[in-house]
Amino acid sequence: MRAKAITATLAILLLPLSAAAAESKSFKKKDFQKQYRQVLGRYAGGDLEGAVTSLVDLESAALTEHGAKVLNRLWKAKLQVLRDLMLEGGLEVLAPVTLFHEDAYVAYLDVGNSPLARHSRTMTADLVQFYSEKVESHESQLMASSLMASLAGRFQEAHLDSAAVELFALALEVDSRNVAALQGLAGIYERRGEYERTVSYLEQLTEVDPPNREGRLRLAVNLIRLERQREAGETLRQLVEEPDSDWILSLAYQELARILTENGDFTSARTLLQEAVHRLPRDPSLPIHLAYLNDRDESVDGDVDLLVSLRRSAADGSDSPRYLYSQIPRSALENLRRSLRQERDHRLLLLAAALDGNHHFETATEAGS
Amino acid sequence: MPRSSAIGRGLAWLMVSSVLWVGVPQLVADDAGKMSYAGRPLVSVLRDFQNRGLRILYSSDLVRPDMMIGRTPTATTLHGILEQLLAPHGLKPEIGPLGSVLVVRKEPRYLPVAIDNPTSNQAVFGEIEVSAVVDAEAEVDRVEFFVNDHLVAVVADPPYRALVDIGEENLDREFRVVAYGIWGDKGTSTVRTRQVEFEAEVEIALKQVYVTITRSGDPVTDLDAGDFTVIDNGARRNLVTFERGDVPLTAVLLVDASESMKKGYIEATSNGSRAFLTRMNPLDQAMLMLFSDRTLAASPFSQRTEELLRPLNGTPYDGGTALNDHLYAALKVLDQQQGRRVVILLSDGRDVLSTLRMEDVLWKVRRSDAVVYWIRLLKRGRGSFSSAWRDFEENSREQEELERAVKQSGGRIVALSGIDEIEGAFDDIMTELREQYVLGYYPESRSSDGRWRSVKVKVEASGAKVRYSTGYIDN
Repeated sequence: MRAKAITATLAILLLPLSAAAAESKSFKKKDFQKQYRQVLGRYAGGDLEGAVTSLVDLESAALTEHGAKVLNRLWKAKLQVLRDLMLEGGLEVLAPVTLFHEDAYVAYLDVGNSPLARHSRTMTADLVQFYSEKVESHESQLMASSLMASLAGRFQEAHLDSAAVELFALALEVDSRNVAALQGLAGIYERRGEYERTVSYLEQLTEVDPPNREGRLRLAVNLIRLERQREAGETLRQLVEEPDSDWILSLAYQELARILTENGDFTSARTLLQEAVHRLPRDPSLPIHLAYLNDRDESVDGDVDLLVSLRRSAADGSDSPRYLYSQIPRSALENLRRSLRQERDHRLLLLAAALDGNHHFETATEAGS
Repeated sequence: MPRSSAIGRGLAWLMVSSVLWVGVPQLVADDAGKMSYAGRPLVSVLRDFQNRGLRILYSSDLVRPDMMIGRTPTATTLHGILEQLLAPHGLKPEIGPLGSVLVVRKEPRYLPVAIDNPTSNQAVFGEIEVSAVVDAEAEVDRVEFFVNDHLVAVVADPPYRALVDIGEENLDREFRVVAYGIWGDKGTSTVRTRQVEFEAEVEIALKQVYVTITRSGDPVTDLDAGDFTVIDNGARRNLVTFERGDVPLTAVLLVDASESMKKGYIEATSNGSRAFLTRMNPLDQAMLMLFSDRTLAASPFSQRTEELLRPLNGTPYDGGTALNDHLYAALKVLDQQQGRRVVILLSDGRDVLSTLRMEDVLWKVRRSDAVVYWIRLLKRGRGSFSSAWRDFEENSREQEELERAVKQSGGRIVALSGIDEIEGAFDDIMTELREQYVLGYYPESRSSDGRWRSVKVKVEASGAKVRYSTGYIDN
């Protein structure tokens, strides 16, 4: 249920000011809130990296000074600020702030600060779900779906597969054509060995985005696993007939050759691989595969000096196609994040305005407290 | 025609003709011995005879102006002289009516010759010596050698032998020699060799088994050939060679250098490889290959330790692991090498990125004579993992197959608790190779049917543990 996804602490965004938690004596919440607003101001002003670094410094110092119990206070303090901004600038200010906290999450992972990485991750997830539930326009719904998929991608990269699946699924609920979510879910289920579900998501993906080469390759690979060789073969044939010369082409050749060898046709497989070596002379895995097929076909026609090929490929240093396949599919996520950055930049003005407009409100609040 | 009957008929002819030539003017006979012949037209010489009173009759169809005399006759009688002058042109003298001498066409005189090598129905291949024997009394001009109607050699002087390369194809062949006498006589002899019938074509390849014997973990190194019994495909075979571990070896050191390899591993690998390589004998050679999901570095085959260790310097350890592909590649490059072949794999055995499956590698192991040792970096067992290319079950099966491949090759798994044991493991393997017995035998027959042939080695040594490759594919 989506409603349950919003944690209890998020409810603070909906409460009146008087209901906010009491300020700790030792933790100077107002000072923190002031600094947090300044950090958001830097962000809204376009100093994206500087703002993230400042937040990391600010929160890390608080954690060092006050210990783990301060995390809950940080949380509440930030939410109070965000509530104020939302009241001033509307729900859309949450979109750039969510991306800001996603960046902070990545920064905490990079420096290995686990408590703040967890804190930041949960907060970003809650913010994005809150935003998704509250916005109504189609454009904002698409934005919410993208934000969820982007964060889910971060979870996937951090091997938090369950959290990623949950968030990708929510992204799809909002926008069933979200390519990054479809690709992400397919990748996770493939790694889990759930090939039926993988194929289902990849079929949706290739329907939504027919030219997607990586999606078509992955679909073919998983169709083979489901013993749907004919369909897989057709898809792979289309891929090898396209002019691109990349790791996807190499794997398309190799998988097509695998289908042939499983039918005992080593000669055709060998001919196919020879063509592949001709088109992809720097590919590190094709010479071994071709040597094997020559061996099986008891042929030295077109045989290569394997040791020479291996030494050449070692000097070349290209990643193997299978290594690239085994990485989390990034193409759709990269496209999505590029588009999100553009959307964020439009909304940074809203955030900046909200921060400015809130100045009087903040002063009044401070006077009344 | 039998030689004795040919010679007998020739002698009879001479006896008859000698009687008939009585009555030829003595003058002609005396002059004939003094005349010059070589280089003159035959017709001119015959005219000289006519001018000296010999009634010699010939047709211009038979004695043409272009017929030249090659050599001066050696005969001392007129008949002999005439015979030697006419014979090279296929002619002979014959007594005609009224004391005349007629020049007539001569039936070629047989020059006895025979091939004494090869012999009929023999199967012959490659380079062989074809040898011909010619009648000892014959004056031979040359002997021509033919194989399947192709002239392959001409020999002018005895002994009449020719070295001929006839190729390796299993074919019927015809060997023919033609001997030419200096006086126009000619003889021929033919021998037909046969192809080997397919059923009888046998590939005689020495099969070697590498046998490691231990008792309570210690090597047993004092056994003799008589202590071993080899049973190939159910049939007991005699040992034709028996050696201990000093038989030269070619090794591939196959080192997993994926990013999962821990700190300190590079140094330990370097020390281990050095421990192995510095103990190589002068005729041994090796190569070192570092791999992850791709080949990271590879030395050539060499005997020089520093050259072999060079890939370990500065190669970044990164990427996933394509163990199957590289184990196959190691076996494949060893195909080109001679003698005892060994692969030493250093890895945790977790393949995630190979194109080939371990069953493909096992296919190769069964067709290779190479022994595979696996220095296994994780002692705690196979572990369970999934990857983009294989699920838990498949990965588990792959590791089981790897264990099988190692055992079937006659090698073993050396499981380590930590990287500090790597050097000792390499050293132990080299010691084991030096203490191995190498047994050579000829299999009973080879059908090249691609079937598995089991090998059993029995040893007369109580309490001994025996390890060897348990069979091979007959192809």
